[in-house]
Amino acid sequence: MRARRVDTADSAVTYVLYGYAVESTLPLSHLSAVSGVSADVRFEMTDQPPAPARWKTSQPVYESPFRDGDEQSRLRLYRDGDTDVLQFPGVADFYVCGNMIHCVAAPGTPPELLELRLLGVVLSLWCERRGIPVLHGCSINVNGRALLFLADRGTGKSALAAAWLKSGYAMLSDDVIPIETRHGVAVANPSFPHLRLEPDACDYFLGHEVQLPLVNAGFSKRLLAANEAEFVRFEHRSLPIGAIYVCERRGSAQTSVAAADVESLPAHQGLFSLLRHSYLSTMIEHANEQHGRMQLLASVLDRTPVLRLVYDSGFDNLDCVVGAVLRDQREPPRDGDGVD
Amino acid sequence: MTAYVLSPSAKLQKVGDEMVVLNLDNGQYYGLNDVGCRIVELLQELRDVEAVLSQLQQEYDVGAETLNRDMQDLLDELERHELIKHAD
Repeated sequence: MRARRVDTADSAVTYVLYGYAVESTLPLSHLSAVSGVSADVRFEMTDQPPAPARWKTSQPVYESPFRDGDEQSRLRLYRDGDTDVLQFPGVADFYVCGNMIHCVAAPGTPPELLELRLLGVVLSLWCERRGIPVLHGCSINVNGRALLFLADRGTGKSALAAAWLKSGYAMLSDDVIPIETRHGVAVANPSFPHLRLEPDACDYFLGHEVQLPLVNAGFSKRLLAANEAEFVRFEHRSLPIGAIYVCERRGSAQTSVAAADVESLPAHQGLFSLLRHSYLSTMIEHANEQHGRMQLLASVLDRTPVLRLVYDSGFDNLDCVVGAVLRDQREPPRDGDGVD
Repeated sequence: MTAYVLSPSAKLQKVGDEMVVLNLDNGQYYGLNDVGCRIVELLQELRDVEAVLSQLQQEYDVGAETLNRDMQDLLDELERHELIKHAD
């Protein structure tokens, strides 16, 4: 987005994220503001919970297995009537209800950490509540269609996104992919315009001399915003999904010949893959949202091929992966149109 | 007569010629190939195992013994995972 910043009466600013207009009283540092757009959802920082916090005496419907130094779960989901409460202990409580998200932050929480949580788990939950499945992976514009690459956490999907960027393609997302069906077409919506790269990937793609900021204190990944490097181009449009590749990375290549193969997947395994690579998969299983999502994802599968992409580890092999996918697509790279 | 019905906790989702079954009780998904998918579809429609077998024999060029064994294996598996149960 290239629009100017607009300050409304309560200093809320509107941004476009995940294909939707998000009005926020918290300035979002990595997004550009837009004007003349009706908000689909409003995010508001507040000192007090929007309603009596009855959830605090109830059991969470989901508790993350990841623990902090005090052995507390890092994330819990509570359900209180129509409201879902995402509790990040010591950080903030996010109340998601309809098209409102309220945040009560713990004293001293840095705004960038709140932004990180909002742009990841919180807005993904808001999308899921609207019936917009959110997948975990990177998404690239190839000839006007979004190619999705789904991968487990820590398996190099951001490095793969960087390889596509280096090859001259634009990125819709390197982490969070909201998908939906519009006019009978499965589309991928764009996410936030930056890459999150591990230090070794930064060294490989940018060189040792470039020092990028950390995503946040306590994170190993570095943040590379769109346009900070010449090769980083972000696609702001929603695009029809051309194909979904499920990434399987092998160990380092045993031969001097780099390898990447595209293989077909049985339909039921394709659906398994979409379910497994959902951004909030475990949380959704606990929140009993599985059946509706299964139906939604099956309808995407009806319209989109899901394939297995198997390749050897190593940054040097990623060009080979890009080449294998382009051969699978059987089209030379060129610019294309988005979906409004 | 042996008859089965789908468990209330089992939710079916057809994908192409195949099927994914979700057990809401434990959150587990199970995949069925095209033949497994057809067996479950016929079971929903006919309930009776003999009737399902008879219909399958008309649709697939497989010996009755093999078909019966494969179908029974699948039904045992579905029952073990509490996706189907004996009809009252």
